[in-house]
Amino acid sequence: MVFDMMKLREEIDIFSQCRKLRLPLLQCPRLLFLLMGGITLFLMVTAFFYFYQRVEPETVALIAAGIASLLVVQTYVIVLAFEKVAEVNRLRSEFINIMSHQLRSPLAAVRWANELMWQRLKGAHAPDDVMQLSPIYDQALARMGELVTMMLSLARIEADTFRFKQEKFDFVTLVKTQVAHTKMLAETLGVHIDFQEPREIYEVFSSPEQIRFAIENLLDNAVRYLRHDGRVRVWVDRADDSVRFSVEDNGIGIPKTEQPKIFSRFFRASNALTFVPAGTGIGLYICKEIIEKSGGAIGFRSEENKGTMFWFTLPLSKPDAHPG
Amino acid sequence: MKPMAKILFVEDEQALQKTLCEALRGHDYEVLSAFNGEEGLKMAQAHKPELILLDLILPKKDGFEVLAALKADPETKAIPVVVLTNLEGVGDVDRALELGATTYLVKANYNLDDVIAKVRKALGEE
Repeated sequence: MVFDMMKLREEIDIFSQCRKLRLPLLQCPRLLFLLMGGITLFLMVTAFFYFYQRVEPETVALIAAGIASLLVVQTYVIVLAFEKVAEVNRLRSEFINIMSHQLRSPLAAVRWANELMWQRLKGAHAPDDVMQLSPIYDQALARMGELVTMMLSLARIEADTFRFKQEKFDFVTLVKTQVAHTKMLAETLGVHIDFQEPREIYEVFSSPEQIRFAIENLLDNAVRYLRHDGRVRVWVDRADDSVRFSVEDNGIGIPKTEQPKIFSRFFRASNALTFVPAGTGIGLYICKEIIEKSGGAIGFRSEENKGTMFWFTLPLSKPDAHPG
Repeated sequence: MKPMAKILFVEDEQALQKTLCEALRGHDYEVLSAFNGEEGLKMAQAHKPELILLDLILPKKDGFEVLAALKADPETKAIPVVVLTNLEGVGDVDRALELGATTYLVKANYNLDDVIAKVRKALGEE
């Protein structure tokens, strides 16, 4: 059993916990709990020594009633503090939701205007050194769009309103399209992606946009956390009544002690932070939510400096189910 | 030569109006613009376009109200309506389709060429 001194020190440091929540000290639930608990214990010990010397039922009853009232009051105060924290979280989620939604319209306008502009420049035979700038705009705008979508998804997951329209679709076609898209990024990083398209057709019932996001996220991670001569292998196969998507790389891997937190919100492994400083830490959290809401499961195995394999399953769509 | 279709685009964001209208005109469509729900409804009734592209969050009358009014009016009932919005809640999608929208597109998920392809499909040109 490993005794984690750092984690223990973190848990005991009440003031740092309060600063993390950005609440005034006297509204911090943990500090209130300790304060009120301390006062209650003090009163109980004092009352015990008092009772020990004087046996007066009325006094005993009065003190017991007083202590019970104090317990009720302190519970109420602590509950208020929790409510305050919950309210702050709710407002934060709402803010992210509103801002992300507001960002989408101007982003769509810039994206479409960008597309039109490059089409017109191409038509007017603009010089190559001008046309070479086109992918830079495309990629940056696509990345901004993804970040906004991720923020929106995160806000909805936190507000428990993350739902999506589901439909039947061909899973392998989606994987194939996304692998082709990721190959463009992979080539710039000198990474080879190997995808063996299965002969079988696998139909699933979910949201193609959401599953596309999940596949893109896993493929991007596989490609970005590779050293030189990196290889990524992708395959799709059947697992009982489900289709399974797997992606394996020979990259930096995930440290064993950090693996339990890999699907946590805002978490990035320590070696990932060093290797690729940019990253939100919410991609895998959202992937897990998408897959589980689609009736599937997600998992991984990894060894530091050897590589990682992520997989997820989705239930296969039954024939004649989900009529259109 | 068969005249290209008349499309009514109801959208309050100027930049989106300008961009999509330019793109549609580049494909020889005749495009009418409305910047709020009330204006959109009046123009649909006056001009009877072959297709309506309709945003949902609009001033004066929102897209859902416009859609309901279009489908309740015998003169505009048959005009296909493609919803073009950034709302992507399941409730919003279901509501729009129940009110009679032909297609529901989330702007952030489509590039311009994809939107044009959807327009052509809605017009029966593909």
